[in-house]
Amino acid sequence: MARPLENTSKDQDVAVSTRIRVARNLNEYKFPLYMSIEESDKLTDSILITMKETFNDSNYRFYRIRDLTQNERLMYIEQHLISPGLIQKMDKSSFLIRDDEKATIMINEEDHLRIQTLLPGLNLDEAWLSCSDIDDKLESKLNFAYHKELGYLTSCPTNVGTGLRASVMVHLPCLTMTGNANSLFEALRKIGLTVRGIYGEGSEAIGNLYQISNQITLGETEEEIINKLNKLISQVVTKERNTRKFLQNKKGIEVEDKVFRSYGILCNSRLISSKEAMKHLSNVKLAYDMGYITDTKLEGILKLMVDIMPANLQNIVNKEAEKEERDKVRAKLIRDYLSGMEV
Amino acid sequence: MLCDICKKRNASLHYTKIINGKIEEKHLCEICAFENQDFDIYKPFSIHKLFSGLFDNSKIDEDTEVDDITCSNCGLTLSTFQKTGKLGCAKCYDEFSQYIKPIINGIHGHYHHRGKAPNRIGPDILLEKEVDELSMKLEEAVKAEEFEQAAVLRDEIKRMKEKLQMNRE
Repeated sequence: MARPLENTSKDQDVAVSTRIRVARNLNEYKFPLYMSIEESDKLTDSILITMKETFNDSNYRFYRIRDLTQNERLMYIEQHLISPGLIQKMDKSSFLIRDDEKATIMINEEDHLRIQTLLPGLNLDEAWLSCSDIDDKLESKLNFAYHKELGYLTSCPTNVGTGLRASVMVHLPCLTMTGNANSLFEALRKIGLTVRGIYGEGSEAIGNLYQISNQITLGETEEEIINKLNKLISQVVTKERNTRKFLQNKKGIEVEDKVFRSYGILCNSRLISSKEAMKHLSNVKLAYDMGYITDTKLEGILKLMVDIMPANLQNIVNKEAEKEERDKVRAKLIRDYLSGMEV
Repeated sequence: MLCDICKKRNASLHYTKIINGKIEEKHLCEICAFENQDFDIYKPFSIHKLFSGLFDNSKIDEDTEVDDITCSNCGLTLSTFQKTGKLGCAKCYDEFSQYIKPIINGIHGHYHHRGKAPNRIGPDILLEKEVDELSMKLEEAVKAEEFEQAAVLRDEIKRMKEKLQMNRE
């Protein structure tokens, strides 16, 4: 099975990755926003004990937000392993990451527990089963807040019920190019889905990447939520693919020109911001997925898209770098990556 | 037309404000509109504002003016929840149920969870739900004078309640 960031699974020309998370809280504690640091440490300890008892055979690494540098925190966010919300309450929050990086357990984000699974491609069923399995195992030891009518109780009423947020990251360069993305998003919103930028709530779309997720968490079963999202994402995938085919037939030379210009820029730039790099990497990914460039090295392009993000780049450089220095290193990293490729 | 506030730039936003029946016409330039409280179109979307919109204001005003409600378990006040949009503990859902119910209905369009339940408490909750449903059927049967059917339902409810009792012990 591929790791989350390999551009190899069958739907990854459009559906880049699938993420599922459930929100859970414990009866005995105040919700994170209102708890003291001492209380949050107590809660964290009890969760850690449960984790040890429950998953002694699989390896989870544990990190406290307050023990990490700001750059390390941002790195995990850029890799989608934790949510931006987790680093807002520095002193109280922590997380556990499974060795395969497909599961994360966030402690004291908006809720006591956020169990997240992350898989490549469109993989909602498997991601849900794996998330639900971790949930079951923890639930057998922890006293989760559950209400007869309302289901799982969450700090914010927008998550109550299933506490489930299922989200698929999609790459929609051609729907965006033709101006059809906005009307598609409008339609998706009308039927209860949310479309957001790549880091979730409040973030902007860069590199033609969008996250599509369910809005409502109460009243539908988990399976219903997932089946609905699955059907709709499959339609989005088909729409994007059809648009690609259409453009290839009708405006082939224009598309080819556009993606190769991007390739040219990436191969030759000496300074590049992450935003500009993402724009052109999106086009190069499109070139690969449409068959204009066939070098299999591009299977790693999704990882490259993460590596060039500010915090991850900083980590690769391994020293405090100013913006211009980062732009320089980023340009070099991309040039090196693309050098010697067959086009 | 010049802006009502700065009186220098041209007004590009025109609107009518009606508060308690009092009508007021406003003409603002974009810069003053940006700083004006009436417009949050330029500011990031706030979920909390949306929440307060979902409150049944008539109810809140009557009660909160006299006394802000406090959760007996965690001490959170209703007005703090209105500000933060975040509840204090699991118990808040019961303590503030009167106010939260319309919010939840407004967000989800539902008030009943149909998904997964914790294994530990799941079976009992399902049993309780069944008891509730059967009790309703029993009432209907009595009303319709279907006494044979009612007797069957009564025994079934009794059996379930005993089972629930045993599970709890």
